[in-house]
Amino acid sequence: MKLRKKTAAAVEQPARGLLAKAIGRRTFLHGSGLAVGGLAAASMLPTGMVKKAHAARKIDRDVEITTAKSICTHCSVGCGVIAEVQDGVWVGQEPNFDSPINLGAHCAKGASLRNHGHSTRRVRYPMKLVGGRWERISWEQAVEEIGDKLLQIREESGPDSVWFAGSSKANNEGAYLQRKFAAFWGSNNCDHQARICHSTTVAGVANTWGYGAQTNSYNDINNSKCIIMCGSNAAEAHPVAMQMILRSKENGAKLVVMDPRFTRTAAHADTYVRFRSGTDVALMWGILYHVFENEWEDKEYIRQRVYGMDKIREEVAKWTPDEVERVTGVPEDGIYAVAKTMAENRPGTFIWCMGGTQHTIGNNYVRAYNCLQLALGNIGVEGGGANIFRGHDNVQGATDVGPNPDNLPGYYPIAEAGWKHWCRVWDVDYDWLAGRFDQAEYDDGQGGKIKPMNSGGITVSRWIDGILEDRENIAQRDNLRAVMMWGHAPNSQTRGPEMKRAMEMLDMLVVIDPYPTVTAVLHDRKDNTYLLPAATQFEQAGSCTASNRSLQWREKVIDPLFEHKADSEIAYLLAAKLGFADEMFKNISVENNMPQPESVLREINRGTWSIGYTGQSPERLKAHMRNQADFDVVSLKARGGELDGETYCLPWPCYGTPELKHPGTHVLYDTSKHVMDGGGNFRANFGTERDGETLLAEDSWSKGAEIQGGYPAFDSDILKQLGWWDELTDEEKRHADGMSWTTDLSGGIQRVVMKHGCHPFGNAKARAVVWNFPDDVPLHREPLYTPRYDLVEEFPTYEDRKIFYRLPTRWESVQARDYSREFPLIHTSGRLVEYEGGGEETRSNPWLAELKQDMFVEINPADANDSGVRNGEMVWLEGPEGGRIRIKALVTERVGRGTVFSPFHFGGHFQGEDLLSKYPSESSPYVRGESTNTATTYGYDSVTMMQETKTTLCRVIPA
Amino acid sequence: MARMKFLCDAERCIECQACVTACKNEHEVPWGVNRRRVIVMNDGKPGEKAVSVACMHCTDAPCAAVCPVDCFYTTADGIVLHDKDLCIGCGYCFYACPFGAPQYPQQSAFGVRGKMDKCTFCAGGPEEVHSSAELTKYGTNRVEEGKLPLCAEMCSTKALLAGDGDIVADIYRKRIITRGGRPQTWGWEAAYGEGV
Amino acid sequence: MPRKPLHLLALALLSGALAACGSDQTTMYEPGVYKGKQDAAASEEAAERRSGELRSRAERGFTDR
Ligand code: SF4
Ligand code: SF4
Ligand code: SF4
Repeated sequence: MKLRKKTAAAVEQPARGLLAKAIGRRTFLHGSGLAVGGLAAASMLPTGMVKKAHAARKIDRDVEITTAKSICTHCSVGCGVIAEVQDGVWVGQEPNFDSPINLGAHCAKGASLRNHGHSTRRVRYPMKLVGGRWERISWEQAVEEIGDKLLQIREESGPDSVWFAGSSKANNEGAYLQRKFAAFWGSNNCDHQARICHSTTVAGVANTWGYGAQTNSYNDINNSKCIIMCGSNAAEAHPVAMQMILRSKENGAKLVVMDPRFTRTAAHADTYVRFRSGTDVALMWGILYHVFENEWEDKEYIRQRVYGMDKIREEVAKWTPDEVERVTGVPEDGIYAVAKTMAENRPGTFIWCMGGTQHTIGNNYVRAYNCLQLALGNIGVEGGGANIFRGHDNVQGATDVGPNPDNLPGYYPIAEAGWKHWCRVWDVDYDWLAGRFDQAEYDDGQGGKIKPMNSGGITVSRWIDGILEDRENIAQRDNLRAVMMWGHAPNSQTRGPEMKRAMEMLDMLVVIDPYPTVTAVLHDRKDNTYLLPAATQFEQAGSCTASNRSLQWREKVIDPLFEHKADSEIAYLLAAKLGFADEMFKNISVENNMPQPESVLREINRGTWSIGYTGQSPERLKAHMRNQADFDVVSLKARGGELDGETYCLPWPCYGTPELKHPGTHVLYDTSKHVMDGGGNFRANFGTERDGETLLAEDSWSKGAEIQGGYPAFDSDILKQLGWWDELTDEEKRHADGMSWTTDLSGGIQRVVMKHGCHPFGNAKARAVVWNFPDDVPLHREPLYTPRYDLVEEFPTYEDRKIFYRLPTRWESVQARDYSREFPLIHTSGRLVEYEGGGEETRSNPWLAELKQDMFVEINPADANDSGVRNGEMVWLEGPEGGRIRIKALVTERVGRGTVFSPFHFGGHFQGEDLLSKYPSESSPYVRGESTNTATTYGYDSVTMMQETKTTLCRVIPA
Repeated sequence: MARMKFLCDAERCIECQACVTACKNEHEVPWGVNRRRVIVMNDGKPGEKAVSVACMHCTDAPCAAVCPVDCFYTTADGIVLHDKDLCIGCGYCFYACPFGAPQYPQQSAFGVRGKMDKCTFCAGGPEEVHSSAELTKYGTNRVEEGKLPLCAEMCSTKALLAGDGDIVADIYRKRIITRGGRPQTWGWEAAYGEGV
Repeated sequence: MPRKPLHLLALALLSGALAACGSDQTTMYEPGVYKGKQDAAASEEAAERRSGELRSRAERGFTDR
C-alpha cells in the first residue's frame, strides 16, 4: 500500500505509433484538436461562441420521447434520419438502419443534423439594415415594405427587374411554389443552384437520351463490375455513396478514379489517373480511341439504340495516344489501361460530378462521357449507367419542378404550349397570366424577337451581370433592381469583387434563409436590405427527390424555431401582399397561411406527366417511408409486405395516376423490363428521322411492348390509328382528345399505352450527335483561362454572343489574352466533407466548424518552392481578374505540379478583411474565411450558362 | 461473457468524420474536446489510409494502471469508464494511453486542466443510469438501452464497428475473405493483446 | 545539532499522514483498484442482461444488408 503519489517518470511510455505517424490535412490545419506528442488540452473557443459545458439539453425519462423520420438536408444521397423529440425539443438522433439508401449511415454533416434544432446562430426574426445596422422588425412590416418596394419597381421597370434565387434546399413543394410565385409575378427571372451544379449534365443527358437525371442509383452500383469516377470526389461530397461503391469494390468491381487531384476517393481506387484540369473531352476520346481500335464497342447495341456514333468515331480518330498525351498529360498506357478495364468489366458505371460540369464546355464533357458509355452498351442496364451524383438534397427535385428560368415544372417549355398546359393545371386563365408579364419583345439572340414570357430568364450564374451590364445590352426592359436570395448562398458564384459592386447597386436586396449567408455581409449597403428567417426542412413536412429520383417524404421534426417560417408560408404571405394569392393558391389548401404540403404535392402530381411525377401521391410516399425495411438494398425493390414489387420511394418516372400503381423506375431505359415494371428505352423527343436516317430504335424494345421496334411519342391521334382509343374511359377521352401523353390531364393515354407494354415517350435511339447544340459532336476547346496558351489556336473557344439568356456573353474576347505567364497555376475548387455549398449553415454548426477552421489552398511542393511559400503560412491567391484572397497554404502532393485546389465553402472574409462586424449580432458563423470565388473568373457554358469554376488561373505568393 | 471492442476497417474508412460529429451530437462534447478523431496516414499520397480512433477500452487498461486516484473501472463487458468526481486532471492517463484518448477541457484562460473526458463507449459513467448527473458528466447511456456507440452506428461506410468482439471480428473476417488481402486491424494488438 | 527537531517534525508528519490513512477522506493508491462510485450498470448481471440486445444490434447495424 502506498500513499497517493507517483511521478510521471514511473509511467512507462508505450509506443504511440498511430498518432506519431499521423500528419494529415486535419492535423496541419487548426483542426480537431489533435495534439501529437502533447497533452490534448482544448484550445480556446473561437470568439463569439458561448462556452457550454456538457449537455445543454435535458432528457427527462418520464416524459414521452417521440420519433420523426426525416431526410438529411446536406446532399443528394438522401440519407434517412430518425429524430427523437421530447416536449418539442429535438433531443436525440438515431441511425435509420431501415433506410435502404444509407442503412443508418451518415457523413459528418448528417451525423450532426440535430444542431439545426437548437442553433442560436440562425437569423432569429426579420431584420433590416437601417443606416448600416441590423434592426429587428416584425414579419408584417417586412412583408409590407418588401412588397411595396417590389410593386414600385414593377411599376417603374417591369416585372423582369426583380430576380429571385430559389432553392435546391427547399422541398419539392417549396421549390414548386417558388417557380409558381415567379410565374404569377410575371417573370422567368428565377433560378436555383442546379444552374451552377449539374445544368450541363441535365441538358447533356436529356438531349442525348431523354431525361436529365441520374440513370441508375447509388444502390445499383452494387451491380457494377467497373466503376469510373471522373470529376467526382464522393468520399467528401457524397460520403454515404461510398458505402455502396466500396461494397461493390469488395465484391470485385474495379474502381477507377480520374481527377486532376488525388482525392480521398482516389485513395480507394484500383487505378488513379491524374490529368490536366479542363481536358476531359480529350481524355474521353483517348479512351474511346482504344475502344474502337480494339473493337471493344458493343456493335449490336449501337446499331439498335444509338444514332450518330460514326461521327463520333471520326472525331475520335484524331485523338491518337500522342495527341491525347500532349493535351491531357496522360501517357498512352494509363489511358489504355482504363479502356481495357472498362471493356473487360461490363456492366460498368460512369460517375461524374462538378469536375465534369462546371466548365465553359461542360455540355461537351457530359456528352463525351455519354458517348463512351453508349459505345460500351452501358446505358439502360443494371450496374451500368450515367450515375450522376447531384449536389443538394433536393436539387433533382428543384430541377424537376422548381424555379428554373428556362422551363416550367416537369420541363414543360416556356413556349405557349407549356404555359397553357400549366394554366389548365392551375385552373387560371392563360391570358390573365400572360398579362402579368412584360408585353414588349426583345432580341432573342438568334436574329428574332421574343416576349419575356417565352425567353429564358437571367441565370443564377449571371445575375450580377443583370445589374452591372448596360441596360441597352440586356434583352429585357430594364436592369435588375431587386434581388431575393431565397435559400441561396452568393459565394458559390464566381467573380466576387464584381458581385459586391452589383449588390451595392441594387434598390433592394432580400435574404430569405435560416442563416444570414454571405449576402448579408459582402456589400457595404446601408439600407433596403432585409433578412427573413426561413425554416429548415426539419421544421416542415414535404417531399424531396434524391439523386436517384426517389421522392422521400420528410415528417416535421419540430416547430420552427424563433420566428422562422417555411418557404411555402413565405410564398403565401408575399403572394398575398402582391395580390395574386387567390389565383396562385386556388386549388391548394392553406391553413394559417401555410400551404399544406400534401395539397401542393397533389397539384404537382396533376401536372407533371412529362416526367412521371404523377404517381407519387403523398399517401404512397408515406407508405414507403413506413415500410423502409422491406426494400432490398441492391434493387431497391420491396420484397413482400404491402408494397411488394414497388421501388423505394417511386423513383420518377412513376407514370400515370397514383391509382395505376406504377412501381417507379429504378434504372432508366432498361429494355429488359416491362414498362409497368419500371422498364423503358430511349426517348423519342427529336423527331423520327434526320437526313434520311431513322432516329427510332431498330430491333429493340422494352419487354412486352406490343410495338416491336421504334415508335414515336404517343398522342390521341396515334392511339386512334392503333385502334387503342376506345380503351380509354369516356371521362379520359374528354381530357385526352387532341392531347399528347404529356398534356392529357386524365392520364388515360399513359395508362392505355403502358397496358400495351409501350413507353409513353416513344422508343428511339440515343443521340451521340446533338445537332441543336453549338458543338454537335463534342469537341475539346481550351478553357478561357488556360495554362496551355499554345493550344488555343488549335482548340479555340466560341465566338462571343450578343444575347444569351438575355445577356451579352463573352468567350473569345476573354480568351484573346494570354494570362498564363503572370498567373501560371491552374486554380480548381471543390468540396470538403464537413461543409455544404456556401457553407454558412454548416460553418454555424459547432460540431462541424471545429473540424475545419481555416480556409486553405493545396499547393504542390514544387510550386510552393517556386513561389517561396511555406506549409501552414498565409499566402495571397490572386486571380487574373483582380480578386485576391488571403488564406493558408497547405503544401501537399494531393495536387499535381501546376495545379492548386481550394474549397468553396468559406465566406465572411473579403480580400483580407474579416466581415464579422457586419453580421447581425450572434448570427455569425463560428468559422469564417475567404471565399474562393473572390478569386475566380468569367466563363460560362455555351448551352446552359454554367459557370467555370474548375479551371481558371491564379498565382500564389507569400502574404 | 461478451467483450465490447472497437474495430476500424481502414479499407473502408473514407475520413468523413461522421464518427467524430456523431459523438459530439450524442454527448454534446464541448468544442476542443475530441473523444474520437480520425487519423490519416500518407495524407494526399498513394497509400493514403485513415482510421478512426477513440478509447479502445483496452484489456488491462494502461490508463487505469497509472491513475494516481484510481478512478478507472472496467464493466463486466469490458468497457473502461472513470469517475470524474475523483479525477484530478493530472494527465497521467494521457501519457499512458497508446491511443491518446484522454482529453482535458480547458477550464480557464490560465491553462488549468479540467477533469479528464474520454469515450465511454456510449455507456455513461458511475451515476444512476439515465440520470441528469450521468448525462451532464458522461453523456448518454446507449449501452443500457441496448444500443451501440453512435459513432459506429452512423459510420458512413460501416468501417467503424463496435460491439461484442466476436461479432465484430466475424463481420470483419468475412470482408477480408470477400475482398482478399491481409487483416489490418489498427490498434487491436495494442488494445486487446491479440489480432482478429 | 539541528537533527532532533527534524526527526520530531518527520515523526509528526508521518503520524499525521498515517492518521489520514484511516480517514475516509483519503484515497489509497492501489494500482487498478477502483476507488470511485459504484456503477450498477457495470455489474455481471447488467452486462448479461444487455448482451443479447447488443448482439442483435451489432448484427443489424454493421452487416451489409
Ligand atoms: S450529406 Fe449526404 S451523405 Fe452525408 S449524411 Fe447527408 S445525405 Fe448522407
Ligand atoms: S484506449 Fe487509452 S483511455 Fe482507453 S482504455 Fe486504453 S489506455 Fe485507457
Ligand atoms: S465515420 Fe467511418 S468512414 Fe467516416 S471517418 Fe469515421 S470511421 Fe471513417
